[in-house]
Amino acid sequence: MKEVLAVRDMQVRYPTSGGLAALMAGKRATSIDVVCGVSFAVAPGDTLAIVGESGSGKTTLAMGLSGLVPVSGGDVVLDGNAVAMNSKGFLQPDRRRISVMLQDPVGSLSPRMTVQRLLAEPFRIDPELADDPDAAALRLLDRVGLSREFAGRYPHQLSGGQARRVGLARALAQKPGLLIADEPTAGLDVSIQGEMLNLLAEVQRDMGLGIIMITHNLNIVRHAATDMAIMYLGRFIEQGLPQRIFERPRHPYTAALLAANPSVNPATAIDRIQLLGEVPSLFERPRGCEFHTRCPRAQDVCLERFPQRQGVANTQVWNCVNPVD
Amino acid sequence: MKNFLRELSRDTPGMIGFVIVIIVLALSVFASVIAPADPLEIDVYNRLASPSWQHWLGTDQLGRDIFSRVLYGGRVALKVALISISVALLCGLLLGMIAGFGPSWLDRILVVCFDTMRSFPTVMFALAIMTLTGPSLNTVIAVIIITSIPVYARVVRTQTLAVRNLDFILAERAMGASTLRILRDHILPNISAPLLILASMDVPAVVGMEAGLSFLGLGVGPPTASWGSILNDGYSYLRNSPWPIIAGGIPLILVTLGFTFLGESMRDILDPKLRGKGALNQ
Repeated sequence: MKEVLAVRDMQVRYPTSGGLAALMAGKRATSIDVVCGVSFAVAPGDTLAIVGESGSGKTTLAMGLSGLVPVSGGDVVLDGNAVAMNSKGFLQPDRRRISVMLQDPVGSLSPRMTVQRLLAEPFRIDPELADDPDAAALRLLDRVGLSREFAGRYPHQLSGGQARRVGLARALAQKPGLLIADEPTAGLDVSIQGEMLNLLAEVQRDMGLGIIMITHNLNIVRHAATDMAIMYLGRFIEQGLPQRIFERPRHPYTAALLAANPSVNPATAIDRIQLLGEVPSLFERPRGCEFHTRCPRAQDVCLERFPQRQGVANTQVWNCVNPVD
Repeated sequence: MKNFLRELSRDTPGMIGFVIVIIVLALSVFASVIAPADPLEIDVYNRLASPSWQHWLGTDQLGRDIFSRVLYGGRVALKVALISISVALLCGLLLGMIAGFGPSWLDRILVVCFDTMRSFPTVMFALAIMTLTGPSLNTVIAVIIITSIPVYARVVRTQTLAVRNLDFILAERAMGASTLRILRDHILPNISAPLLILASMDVPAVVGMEAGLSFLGLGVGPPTASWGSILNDGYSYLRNSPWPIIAGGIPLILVTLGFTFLGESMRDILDPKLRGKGALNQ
């Protein structure tokens, strides 16, 4: 099937405003690469899960795709058309095809607006979408399984799960082709997490959505994703089909990440891989493979250049010269 | 509004302030009905009279009824306060939101302008303007507006900066909301509470400023009654009669107390609610 979104070598670079002192110290770079050279494609009905530590650039990637931070390089193809990018990121008509649910469910709803107004808002921004914004808002409320009595509530009167549903409804209003869900289950208890994932799956099926899901929760990846990518310091160091990666992770970082996932079964022998040290600063990106500072399998060549991509495309690929076997 | 009144009734000083404000407003608005005499009518046989049934607060050096003059003076005071504060609030809102939400170079230019304006002592500034244009009520209003705009603009700017990068603004931007929509529908409602408080606390300051300028002869010209000019006239005849000073001073004290109590009470009521709503402190 044709992809909703295909991205090649996407870069997000933040300028660092160090001021005069930083200029005189002369050490720091004038910009930092938060996302560097990321490639992926999402087809309708696909769910790409992006996992990685805090600070690995997952959220920045999402913000770059939704036009909230400037994308500094790469090719983006949306619905088969190359997207013209200016210094501000995407152009407005393209942006509507990509909706985003931000991380903080309550905080991403305007606090002085009722749910009704919040849901009518996208139709007021874009009057072509619906003739009657208020009726459309109520339809959205039904769509995400909230009863009409929520229409009069304010965001602070909603629970995390309810606020998530309202956020999802808002994201669906513009009939996107791709939904970016940043931590859609964070802060929800397990039963509500399940409901949220089921709702996402239902909406995905009905609307033929492609979903990019950013998460820390590996169990959710296993349950919901059709593709996964592991991000480290702004790069995808391993990506492919979840069942393949869970079964046989090749990159040492992936292996460590998966080994850290707690198991429900206490009898399972846990074979943790301990990583030493901290995630390196983006200001001082290590030479070569960024992971060599913490990698138990690092070799001399790892210090020299970033490793070539290996593996089978669309199944499992990794960037490591000395993969786990 | 109902909630607000219920909260207010629990706070004694706030309620006192509210009642004083209502009384002062009513007396000023209906001055022409309530006033027992024409505030400009001169009666030289009854100069500097003590309070009597005919003249409740006595008469001034020209025999004018002080009670009537105080009522009409209240009109001047509140007119100055309402006009200048609302204009300054609107301009400050506009400039502050531009500074807080616009590009950083514009922000810097505006902040320098605000700080420059604030660095003039108000009275010196007023004197300079009066020297150029001559004293009048409009000049008083203009001076107060010009000196208050930076105060409001700075508060608005700080509030806007605090709100502009919160998640809900990002979410609106991701949906493609225009800058105007974001400012009007999402930033303004979230910064307005502290502004209302500031504006209400500013009323006594402005009333005092008008009285001060009139006292210095820089405000409204004779024969118009203003609390400042009543004080000024009374000051010259203090040895003959204390009543003009008392009559001119009491309303000033009442207005100051009333609006300050009300403002402080509003702050107490609105702030914890804001925190409860989680609007700004997340």
